Amino acid sequence: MGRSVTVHLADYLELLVRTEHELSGGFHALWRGHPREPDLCGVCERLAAQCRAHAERLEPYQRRYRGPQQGERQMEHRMEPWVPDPVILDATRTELQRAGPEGVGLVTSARPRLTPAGAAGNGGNGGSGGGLVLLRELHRLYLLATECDLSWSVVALVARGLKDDDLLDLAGRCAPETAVQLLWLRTRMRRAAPQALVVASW
Amino acid sequence: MLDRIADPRGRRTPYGPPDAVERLAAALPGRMRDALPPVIRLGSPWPVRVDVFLEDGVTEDDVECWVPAASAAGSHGEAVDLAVRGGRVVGVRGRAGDRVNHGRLDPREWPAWQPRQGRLTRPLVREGGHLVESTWDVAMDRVVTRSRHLLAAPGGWGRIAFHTGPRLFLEEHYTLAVIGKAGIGTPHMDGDTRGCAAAAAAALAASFGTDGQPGSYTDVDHCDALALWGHDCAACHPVLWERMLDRRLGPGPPAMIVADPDRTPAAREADVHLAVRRGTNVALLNGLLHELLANGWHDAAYVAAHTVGVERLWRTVEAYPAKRAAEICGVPVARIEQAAEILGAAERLVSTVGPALLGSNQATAAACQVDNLHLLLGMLGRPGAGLFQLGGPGCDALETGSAGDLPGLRNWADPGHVRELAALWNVDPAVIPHWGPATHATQIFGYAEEGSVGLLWITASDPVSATPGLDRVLAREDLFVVVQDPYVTETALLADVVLPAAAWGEKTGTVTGADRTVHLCEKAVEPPGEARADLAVLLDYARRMDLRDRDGLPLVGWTDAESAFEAWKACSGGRPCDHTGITYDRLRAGGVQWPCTPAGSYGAERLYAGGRFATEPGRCQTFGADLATGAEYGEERYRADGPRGRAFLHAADYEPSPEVADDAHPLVLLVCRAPRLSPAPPYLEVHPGDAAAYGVEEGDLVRAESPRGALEAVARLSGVRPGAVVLRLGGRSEAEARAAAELTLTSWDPVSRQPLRTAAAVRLVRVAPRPGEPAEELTPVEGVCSAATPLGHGVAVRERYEEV
Repeated sequence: MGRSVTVHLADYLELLVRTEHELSGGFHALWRGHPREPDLCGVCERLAAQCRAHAERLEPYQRRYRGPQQGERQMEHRMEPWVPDPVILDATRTELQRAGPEGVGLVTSARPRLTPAGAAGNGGNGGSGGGLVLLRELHRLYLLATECDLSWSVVALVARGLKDDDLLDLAGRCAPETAVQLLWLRTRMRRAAPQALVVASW
Repeated sequence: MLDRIADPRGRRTPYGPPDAVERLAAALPGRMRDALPPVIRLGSPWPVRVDVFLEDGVTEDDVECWVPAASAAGSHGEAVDLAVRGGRVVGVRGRAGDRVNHGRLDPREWPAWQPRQGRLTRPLVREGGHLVESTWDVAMDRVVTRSRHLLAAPGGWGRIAFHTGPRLFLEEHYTLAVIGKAGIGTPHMDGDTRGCAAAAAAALAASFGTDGQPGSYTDVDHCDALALWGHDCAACHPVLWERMLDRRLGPGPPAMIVADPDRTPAAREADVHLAVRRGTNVALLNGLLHELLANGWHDAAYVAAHTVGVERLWRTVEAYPAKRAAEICGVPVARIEQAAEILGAAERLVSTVGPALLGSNQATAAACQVDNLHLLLGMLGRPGAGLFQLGGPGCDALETGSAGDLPGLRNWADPGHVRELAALWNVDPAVIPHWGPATHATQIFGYAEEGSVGLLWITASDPVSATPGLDRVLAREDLFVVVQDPYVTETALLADVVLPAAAWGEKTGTVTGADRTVHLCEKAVEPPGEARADLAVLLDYARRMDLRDRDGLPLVGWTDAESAFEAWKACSGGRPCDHTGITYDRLRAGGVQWPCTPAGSYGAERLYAGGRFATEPGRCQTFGADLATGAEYGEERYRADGPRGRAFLHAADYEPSPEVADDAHPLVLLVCRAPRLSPAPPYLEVHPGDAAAYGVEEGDLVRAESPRGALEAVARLSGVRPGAVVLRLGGRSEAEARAAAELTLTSWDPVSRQPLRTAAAVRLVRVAPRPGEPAEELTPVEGVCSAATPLGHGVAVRERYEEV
């Protein structure tokens, strides 16, 4: 087993750690951004914590496979973190801008938004914005979670190859949680979509 | 008048359990029982005691006629007779021969029948910002014009929403379900059931395949152990409580376990009181399940033959030995072990799950653990082994599909079920909203707020008085609000059209009680003025909207209560809630339980006899969801689990919530609306003992801080329970409502989508003294929470409960 293989794995794990952190931030931003969706709060908080825990539990393995002497070099070797397809991103941004001034945030930064997304409803106009923004945010989180899901299955494969039972065990515990996250996002999108896309767009 | 609140044991009728032969006989299906020799006593041994409440000065001799009805006080489903004299209801009497109450009455029964102030007698419409009297034609025309206008645009179905309360009859719920789901095609139908009954229904469907209480009240006669989970039975279900107490006072009394954060009357009666910390029910139940499994006290043969998922359950509860559960719940270990021993030794166990559990942290998950307890012990489907998830009234709304799922406990995700309904109604299956479960009440109000719902029709419910901040939503210009109610409620004051409805006793229809007993409520007197039965209003709407099926025939083909019931029978046929054997004539002879097929004139007394559950993919009501997030699993995964008529043991880990008090936040904050004549809200009612401990005095400005946020209000010292502070809101201010919601919307039950506005752990900080202002007398809590208020009984009962 050559050293470069483990460095690549370390890079790959780092990628997963970053994606999990990004997903965690996304769940957090989702419920902060939609205070009028009472169901989001508890679940998003829980899922955000779950993602964070995934990332934290991966970090020892990242260190293990990078090796102590590799610490300084990690910047050169690192793969680029996942970047959303610019075309999709642009399209999303345009839609969000059309939806209302509050409709930026998650897509351009993972910073939690302080203005409630539903605030437009107060003024009696732009009521459809909240639903569409929510849908797009769920959409994006779904893509991120898919990223994690794929990575966990790759990590499980590699762990089996390296006979690293601890890592395999970790993947075996985290992958089902990511699968539930995907299911939840799908469930939530399905509930939000008809009203946001058909009814509110009238 | 008899005052049983003051003298709770005054007229007790102690009795013992039936003998073994009678118990065997009770397990037989109804028609086989008819063939037994008459020496075997078949009925319940609970002695009859007829309670009568009459107006002052009226004696039973003065009563012109007695008209059969069902309890208006709660969800228990007692049969009553209304005393009629001079065209008025002058009293109420328990029906001696009824299987539910044996003549007894809920003490709240008579107040619930008495007319209240503000009766509506003519339709009202909004003119120039004011509600003015009008005619039915004008009022209905406005509703229909608005409906047609909204429906004309694409996605019009999503602009009309319905919200119902518990005081509709089954026929009315079903008619509304057909109008909404087949005529308009709206998914936005929900009601007060979401407040409390939703978690109960979700848990039953998750564990057993469909909703429906598995037990029968007669199980209390046979049982040798009673377990009350967050159920203050004495306050919520007084007649059931009397039955339990009578057993406790008679020979061979059942052991009694009560799990409740408060020292309720039931808790004082119990042999073992598990005073759990608020919001830790899952940990407690996991601890008990651990004890049962670890000690081998479960019925291994039953579990192997009739359940799915025991390994998964053990993997979860393995981490909850009694010691750990005790630490989480704040209950002595010995108490948990003692409770587990009672449960493990019980031969016939009756459990009731009440609002304190079903309205608390992880509601559905906790209720599923009680289901698990009964599944592990094989305590289902035989005399004495009963389970009740008593969230609140609303069985009819849930069965008929006017709230929650599709009619007949059908599964929206099952294309076969949708096709069945489409064929029954002769409509295009695409009309029936089935891309997801019906929109929940909070979401409907959310859509109304953002403006995508344009017509909200509220029937027999007063959500404004129960939900802070809702008045602002309903007052929106672009939202057309229709309120159909016997009384001028706070909600009605915000409506664009108010339709005067007949109250109970003024209309005919059926009601289903908590043990699936259907009772007929007959019209005893005429409604006042131009008030009409809710059914008549809905039929009129269907006619004016000209709702038609695929062949151009009227979609709603029935004309009165009995024909509506017949239509419902056709819809329920073949489903677990089969009503096809029930007729109005049969109901006139007494209540009948569903399911009841024409083959036997008796309904099935207990569900799931022989361990056969409604979990086959073509029969179940849900394909399951993750208990922690509500993520729907879908049909594929459900089929992969291969339930084949076995029940599911759903495991859940305990998740702390901000509801759970700890050292940093030692007090529990509850939110209620302020009574009408109270000092300027918002204010915090603080127990004098707590106030002394935190250096708070009457009139001080105090800050209640929870892990989520903080809220400042004036403190009022009053006699609420030590350890609890009650925030009284005025309801007019958005900022207040939002701050309170932030602080207390601590959890949301993701499976049943029920908001859990129960409590939040807080600490009190004195901000500033406020001099002057002598303390005004606080209006008693009963004023807000009286059983007679038409708001969701679940809500009322819960508030009552929390205030005791």
